[in-house]
Amino acid sequence: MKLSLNWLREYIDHGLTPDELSFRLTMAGLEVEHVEKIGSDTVFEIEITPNRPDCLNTLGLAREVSAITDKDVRSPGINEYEDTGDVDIAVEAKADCSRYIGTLIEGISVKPFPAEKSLFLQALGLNPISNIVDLTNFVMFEQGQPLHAFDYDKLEGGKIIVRRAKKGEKIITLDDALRTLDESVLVIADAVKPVAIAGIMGGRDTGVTLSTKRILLEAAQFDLGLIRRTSRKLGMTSDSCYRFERGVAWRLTESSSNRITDLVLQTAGGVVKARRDVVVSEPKRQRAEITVTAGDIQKLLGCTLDMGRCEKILKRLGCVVATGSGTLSVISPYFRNDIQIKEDVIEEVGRVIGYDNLPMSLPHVSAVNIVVDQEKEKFYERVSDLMIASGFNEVVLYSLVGKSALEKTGYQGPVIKLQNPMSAEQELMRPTSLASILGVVASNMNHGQRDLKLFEVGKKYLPGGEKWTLSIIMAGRRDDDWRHSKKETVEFVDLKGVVEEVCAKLRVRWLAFTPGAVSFLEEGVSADVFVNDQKAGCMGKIRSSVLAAFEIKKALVYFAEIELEPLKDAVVVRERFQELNEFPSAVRDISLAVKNGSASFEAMRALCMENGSGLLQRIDFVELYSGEKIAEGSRGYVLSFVYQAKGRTLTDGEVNTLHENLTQKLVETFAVVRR
Amino acid sequence: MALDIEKIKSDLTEDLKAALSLEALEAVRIKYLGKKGMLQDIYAGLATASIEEKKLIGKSANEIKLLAETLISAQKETLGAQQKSGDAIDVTIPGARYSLGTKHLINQTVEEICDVFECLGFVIQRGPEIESEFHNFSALNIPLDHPSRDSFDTFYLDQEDPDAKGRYLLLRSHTSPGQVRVMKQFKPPMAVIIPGKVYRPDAVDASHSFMFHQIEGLLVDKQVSFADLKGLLTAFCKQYFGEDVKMRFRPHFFPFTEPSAEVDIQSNIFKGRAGKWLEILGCGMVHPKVFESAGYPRGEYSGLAFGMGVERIAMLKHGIGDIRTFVENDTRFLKQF
Repeated sequence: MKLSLNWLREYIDHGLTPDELSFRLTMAGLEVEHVEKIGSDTVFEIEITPNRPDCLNTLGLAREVSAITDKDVRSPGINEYEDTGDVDIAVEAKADCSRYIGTLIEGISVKPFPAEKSLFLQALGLNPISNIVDLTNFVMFEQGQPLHAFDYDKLEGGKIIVRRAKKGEKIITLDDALRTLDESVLVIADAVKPVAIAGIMGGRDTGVTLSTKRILLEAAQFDLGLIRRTSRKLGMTSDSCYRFERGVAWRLTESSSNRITDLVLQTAGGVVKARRDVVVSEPKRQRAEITVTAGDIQKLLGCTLDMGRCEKILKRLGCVVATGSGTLSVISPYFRNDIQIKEDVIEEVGRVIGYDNLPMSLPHVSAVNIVVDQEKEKFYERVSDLMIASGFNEVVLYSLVGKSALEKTGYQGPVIKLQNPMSAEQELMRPTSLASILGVVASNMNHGQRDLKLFEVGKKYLPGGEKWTLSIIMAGRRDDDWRHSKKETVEFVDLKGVVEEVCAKLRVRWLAFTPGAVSFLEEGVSADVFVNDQKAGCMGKIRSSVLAAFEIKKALVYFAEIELEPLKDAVVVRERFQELNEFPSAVRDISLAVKNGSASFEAMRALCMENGSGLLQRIDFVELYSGEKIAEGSRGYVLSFVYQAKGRTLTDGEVNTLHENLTQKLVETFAVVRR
Repeated sequence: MALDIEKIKSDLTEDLKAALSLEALEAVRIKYLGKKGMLQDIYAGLATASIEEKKLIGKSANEIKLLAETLISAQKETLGAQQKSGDAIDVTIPGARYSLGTKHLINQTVEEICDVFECLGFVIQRGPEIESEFHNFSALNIPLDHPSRDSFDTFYLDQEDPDAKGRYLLLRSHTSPGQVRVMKQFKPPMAVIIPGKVYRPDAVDASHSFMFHQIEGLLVDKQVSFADLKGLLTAFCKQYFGEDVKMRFRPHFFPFTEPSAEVDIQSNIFKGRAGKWLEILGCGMVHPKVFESAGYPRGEYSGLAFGMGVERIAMLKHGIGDIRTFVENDTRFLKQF
């Protein structure tokens, strides 16, 4: 909302400099965002919050200035005009238009608007057109009611019909644009054609020109939601539309209609030939008395206020106020729908005094009723901290993804769609983070950053819920310190190692990996991740075809995606201390040739642990090798068996026998070859 | 047999002075401490001495032995160091650094802000991003015909709301629905801080994104006042933006708070923005309608609420000009913070 300070002076002598006024208005909730000197005038651009349509005009702002400065407002006197009833107005769209006042004035002379008032409008950026058109703007910027003037002789049939447009109906609006309409648009029509898009813009061909002799002045009430939707749909807005969208006070329609009639007669001559006020439905609005006590103020603001001062402020704002002992009974003015409860009244007083002038205190902060297991609540943060400690850089990714990007990953499952996406790149809720994170991989690689360790703690979204998920990317060199210049590239075990270590530090138990089959991961180099026998995710090497689809070239990229809820549930919250065994352990290494697919390390480990007589503490994996010494289709495993007993030292013989037994069992069960 | 201790001592000193290499020093060691050295001779001579002499000479011999050992080893160290200095390491070579990772700047900012409120006694809670119209709008006193409910301002999903036939789930357009969820779950007194992602159909440019982060705060108790709101947020701003931060509470409008305000600040930490008021958060006293939505008896509780945009704060604080920087995730950016 633009405010001309010269114009404002017509209604109030506030006695403030522009700087002071700007500050006071801002601190009363009418933020002056921009100040501009235009000739001898100063113009404020003020942000009006949506609850204050009453401030979208100069008189409304004068009222605010009056409350701030405790000075009187001079409102212009307005004549009343008789409703003769003989203007042909039919409101067909009764739900969209609750009131339509048409005033027919004859014998006018269209000419330039008086210079003084014209300057006010020019300061607001409005080009002078003619006395009639400028007056519709003048009264709108003075009172807040949008108005329109038709050249009555151009209205076919001398008729006004308020109706929805027919599909395909066309109108050329005042901005010379040809608009094609449909049933969603409310129009003002004459007997044959639309002559205005209701509340937004008039038609070019029925507008007032220099030769106009008879005008029909429109002052109406339109449904604010409809005006807003139409404005957005047609991509057009106007000062009129801006006000209708926010709501125009019911009573303003009549008073503004009278005000413009006054001014037309004054500046353009003519006589009122006819006038009709069609009231379709008057809104039921209760203006109940709101009682506010000194105690209410103390409770809400945390301080006491001088009740006399409160009364004065409220009256300046247009309220009817009755005082009792320590109470104020307030009836809000007709233009203030936002004052309904006592909190609203106290806010009015508070903001006019200025929040910065109210005291402050430190609250007593208590959250005793929110009992949360901090260890679990902090889980996601801990996951993230551990990933960072493992050398990974956290990324933040969009939750929305395009269909084509998702298809590149080969994802086939269910997906949540947006009803109103802004573009095809953001039409789905991502059911996997892969597409988003591969975009990041690609752009980094394009910048030459090919050694990537990335992670995200975010969500994936599936019908039925959103799930916290850890996503990991590893690509390029495994180590980045200069001594490991061998440039070993990342492998599956590196990714798995990170997952295992992070889970171990989170004290997640019962983690298991089985060969996996996911569309986007390479078969044979991928695993499903289980926690407590529940599938929590997958990990492995991304298929080169998927990488190619994201234009990632000459790179091996490993990816893991693990749901965090199952992990969180598997956390051992209070770990028990395990007594340290003081007796020495005995270690026996074993070298095996394992035929691919015939045995897994985990199966062998489980078998040995089961048969380890409680003395086998663990099996360490020492080396994985292949090459000339190993038969084609087999891999060499070097394992280290660690034996230890509680309360005694194991003898060599005992260990050797047990180790021999276990070796035999492995050979028999899995057909592995001892080397 | 008598022992001229002083003579031996001065001989030793002389010999050491002359021993300028490790080899020469070794010769000195052998002369005095070796198997056929001077001290061995002395000890051997003791066999024929009287008890008195044994005591006297033994003591002197031990004294000499200790002295010789100390001096020789000290000289050895000196000579060793001199010899080695030629092939000493270059301590300015970079350490073999094992790189730690980095937390994304957005999440660093979230954590920093939450930390301040946690220290003040607030508890972190999180709400869902997929929300119902009830929680995102109705419960927050946002009327059915409010523009923010339009599909221009809120993303709607193809999922029907299981609790409201014919209405669809949406992506929360602010973190405020978390207020209602927390109030329904717990009974006051409560003090929670709710960080998370929010969504609005804004075209992406340097200062807009359809996804960004907010932090919501809520304090509900029997007697919470606007003065408390001012005090709390002043404490936060001083802690987070510096003791010399300038603040102002500017009246504003939110449907779910009454009175409502925006907080503007001026802080030295915002480079190039000195003397400018920057809007940093929205706040107010919880609207009675919101308590009603949570099922609280009328007038029983009062509360304060506030919310802030994380991207905006991070951009101001670190001088980042383009909001897209955050989601591009260029590792050069990630590693900088």
